[in-house]
Order: sequence, then C-alpha cells, then structure tokens
Amino acid sequence: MIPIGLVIGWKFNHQDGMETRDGVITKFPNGIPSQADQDKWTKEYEEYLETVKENN
Amino acid sequence: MPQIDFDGANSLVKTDKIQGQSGTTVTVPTGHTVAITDADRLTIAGTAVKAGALGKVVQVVNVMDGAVATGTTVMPVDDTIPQNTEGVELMTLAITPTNASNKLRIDVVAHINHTDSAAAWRGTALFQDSTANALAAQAHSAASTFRSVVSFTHYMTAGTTSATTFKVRAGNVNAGTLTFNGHAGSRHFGGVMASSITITEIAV
Repeated sequence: MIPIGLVIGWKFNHQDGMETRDGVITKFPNGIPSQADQDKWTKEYEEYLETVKENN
Repeated sequence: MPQIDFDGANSLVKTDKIQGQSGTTVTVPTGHTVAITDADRLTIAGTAVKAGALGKVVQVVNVMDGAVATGTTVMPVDDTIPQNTEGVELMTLAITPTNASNKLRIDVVAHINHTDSAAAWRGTALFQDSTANALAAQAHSAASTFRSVVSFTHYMTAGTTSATTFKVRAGNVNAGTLTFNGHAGSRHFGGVMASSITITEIAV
C-alpha cells in the first residue's frame, strides 16, 4: 500500500499545507479530499510508478 | 552611610521589612551568611523553598511519539528565526511549572526524512504556545535516502505557573514531502522508532 502522504505529495507537486498522520490526511488546502479522490490519486500514482519502472 | 551595630551573640532585631537604604538591593557582604534555622521558612514570590530543594528535579513530563506523519510545508533555513507557520507540527507537550522562577530543560529527539533528492537543508524548531518565533532550532543537510535523528536541548526560565505547551515543527528548505518517524511516507520499526519531547522542571 502506497502511503497517502507520498501520493498527495506527488499529485500536488508537494504544495504547502498537506499533512498526514498514521496514513490519514489531517490537513489539506481547501478541506480534506474524499476517499474516492484519494483512491483515484493512489491508482494514478501506482500507474505512474509502473511507467517509471517499465522505462527503466 | 549610616551604620547600626548590635553587640552580643544574642542580639535581636525585630522588623517587618528590610529594604535598601540607598538603593533597592540589600547585600550580605562577602564572608557573611544569612542562616534560616527551619527547613521550610524561606519563600520566594509566595512559594516555599525547602532546604535542599535548589537544583533538584521537580517534575519530568515526556511524550514518545511513534506515529508516522508527513507534511509538505517548507521551513526556510536562513538567518531568520523560524516561525510557527513554517514546517509541519510534529509533536506537542504541555507542562504546568510549579514555580515561575524554576528552570525548564527541554530535550527534543526527532526522526526526520524528506523526499528532496538533493542534499538540502532541513530545519527543526521548538515553539511555545502561540508565540510566532521559535525558542530554539536545529538545521542539518541530508538527501532523501537518509533518515536523520535530530536532537537538541533548550534551557529556559519557566516564567509561568500556568499550563504551557511546547511544539516541535520541522520542514525542508525545498519543496517535497517530509516524513516523521519513517521514510517516504511509510513507518519504520513498527512504532518503536519514536521521537520525543522531554521537559524537566528544575528548582532554582
């Protein structure tokens, strides 16, 4: 399972104001994102990592 | 300067106040001692100072935090005092000092990692309540593959007998994701790789 802190860092280019604790988003600009959004971004990040792996 | 002398080992002065005659300080000259016979008859600001208590540990409070946390807010590392809006708040610990004149020794240990691939500066700083300026700070340089153990000590006069909260924040100088108690967003060692704040109140 990819840590959500890493996922949102990648997805939003490490913008200020994003925090997680024990795998739960505790601070996020304009409110905590929905679980559906988090799942979607996690999948996107997994696909990105796969692409990176294939290219290497 | 006027001088009053009393002869005899049993001389006795009864008065309700002693104060400086030409200033605000009353001085016991070198080689002389003020002896208080009973162990609990000296008070400072209304609080009894018991014999043998000076320099002794009054209380110790501690937080051990093994939770993994991440954050993205940067902390500039330059010649400015870190602010409580910079970096990520990682740990807090409250203490209620028993005497405002006592000293507080604050020991911080924090396990920090960051995704920044460059060997960039990372700052860790100690704050009190809502005061914007840090009380103390530490900076070190490391690349993303390194987990750093940050430790520093701050020593201060308590200044209050009300509950006061100390907070530790950390951040990287460049954009990225900081991980507390782990690496790249993941926890290491099942929570026993814990960071901590320990506050020791010392009687003075």
